[in-house]
Amino acid sequence: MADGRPVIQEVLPKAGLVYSEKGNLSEVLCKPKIMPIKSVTLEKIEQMEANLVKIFAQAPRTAMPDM
Amino acid sequence: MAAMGEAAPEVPPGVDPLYVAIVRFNRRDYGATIALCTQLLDAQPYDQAAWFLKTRALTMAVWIDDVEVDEEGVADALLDDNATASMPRPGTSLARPMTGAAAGGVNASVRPMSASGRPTTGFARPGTQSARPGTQSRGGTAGLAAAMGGGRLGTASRPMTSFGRLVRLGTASLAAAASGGAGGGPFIAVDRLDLRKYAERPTLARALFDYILYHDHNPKKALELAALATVATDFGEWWWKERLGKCYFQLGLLRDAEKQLRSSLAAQPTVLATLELARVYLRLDQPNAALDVYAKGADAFPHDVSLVVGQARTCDALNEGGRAVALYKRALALDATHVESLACLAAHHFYTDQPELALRFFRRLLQLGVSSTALWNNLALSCFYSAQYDLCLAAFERALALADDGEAGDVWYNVGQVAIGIGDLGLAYQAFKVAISVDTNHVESYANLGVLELRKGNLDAARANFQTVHEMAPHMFEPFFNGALLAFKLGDFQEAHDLASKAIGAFPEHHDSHELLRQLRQLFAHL
Repeated sequence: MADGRPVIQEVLPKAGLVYSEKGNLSEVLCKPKIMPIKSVTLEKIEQMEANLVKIFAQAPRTAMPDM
Repeated sequence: MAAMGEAAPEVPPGVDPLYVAIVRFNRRDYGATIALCTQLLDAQPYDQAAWFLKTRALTMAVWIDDVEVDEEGVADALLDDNATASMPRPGTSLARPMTGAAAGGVNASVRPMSASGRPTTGFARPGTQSARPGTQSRGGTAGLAAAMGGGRLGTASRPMTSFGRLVRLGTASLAAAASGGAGGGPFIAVDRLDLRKYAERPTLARALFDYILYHDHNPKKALELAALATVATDFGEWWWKERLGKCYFQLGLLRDAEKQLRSSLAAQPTVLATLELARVYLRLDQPNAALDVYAKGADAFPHDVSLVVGQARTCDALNEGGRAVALYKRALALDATHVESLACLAAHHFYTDQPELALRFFRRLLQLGVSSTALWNNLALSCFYSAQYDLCLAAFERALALADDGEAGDVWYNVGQVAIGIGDLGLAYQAFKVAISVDTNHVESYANLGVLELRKGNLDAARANFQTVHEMAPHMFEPFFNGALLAFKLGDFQEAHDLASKAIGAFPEHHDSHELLRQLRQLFAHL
């Protein structure tokens, strides 16, 4: 230039960190699954229902008295 | 229930057996108490003290915190005659939670959604398992199917009415009494009692009421007793009004319940009545009224955790994650051992990219004595994502050792996730296959298996997997998007467009789906 100052060249990057690129679309995976911790009430209810199943399994199926 | 049919303990010589029974009762050894009282009653059938103690012990043995049992039945959910608006504004109804990040909600691309369109929670209560139908504006048969199904896909565990679960438990009590109870029948034949006589005796009446409600689960009879007792006390007893409210709630008479509970609170503010009243409003689908009740209760009882947690749960149900997290933190400040708050905060931190914090919360839970499949699984995941690889597999091993059939699928699915994370696709493939073999309705495993098949080049198998998920879990956007992408690459643009639109329906802010649709529209415009 006429006044002798250094010239800074403008750089427009076409790739890299500064430049926002649109990547190719790719498949997405489902996310890892945090399992819910059961509440005490829920555990108790489940245990009671399991007990019920057990009791009904033991109960005689017919009304016939034992011989 | 295990208490039934137990042998009576040895009574030391010179000690009153009733005293031993009382001590056993205070130690929560209900089986021994019942056996001792049975002996006493055999000797002297009119021993009121023994009768009272036996009634209490039988009640406490099967007692469950019924404020926690918040399950809506099919009938309540579908034939809801309390709904005030068919299309409520977002944030005013549990059927229409807030969406998007505006309310501090979470992004479906980082946190998996449950079938009801809410982010998965870190804690399971009796009510959180079943989705409320009608969310995500899925009307018609989809809503019906959602109402019939349980919380987990493929488990049709939702009872017909909200009262249904309690009826099941009532049957359980009866069956237990029939098989192991004294004399082969129930201890108290409620139908044959003269309730009027009992209503005059306040102490016996209360024990009898709790027995009818918690042991027999017969709210109609309990209501009769409560009504007689209220009359006997000149309508001045807050305890009976609160119990009346409870009965009305169980019978589905919500407005009557509200009236009784408000009256009880006016006479004597209690935490329990406050919780019950808020529950009535939640059932009426008025979450903001419930929040109001909780807030007023929290003003009156500033050190009570359950009121704060109640607010947090309601905020969670409305998808206002940010508010809920603040409330859970407040609950932990009040009670540093509150399991639900710890679990929910841990899940929150895990899905907001802070697995180290989640790990600390889960470790705290472990210190508190919680040891379950779910906790070990969560620990393993947190360890893996916070780069503590050495502990990860050991924790998974523990989780698998403790797992029953309902949970093993989830654990194997997470093992597969970790395997993908370390690049061992063979192990991942096997883990997902195991997850599906344990739980044939494990949709996430199908979805990820589809992606793995795609990597292997088995296009047909991949598409079959995606289609399986499309049918089973229309609330998940990943398989729709993956299917759309596959169809797009194969040149089936129409199908790609359909599937991408469905992906957007499930997750409106998904960027890649919008991008795919944009490309498709350009293509269609060219044609």
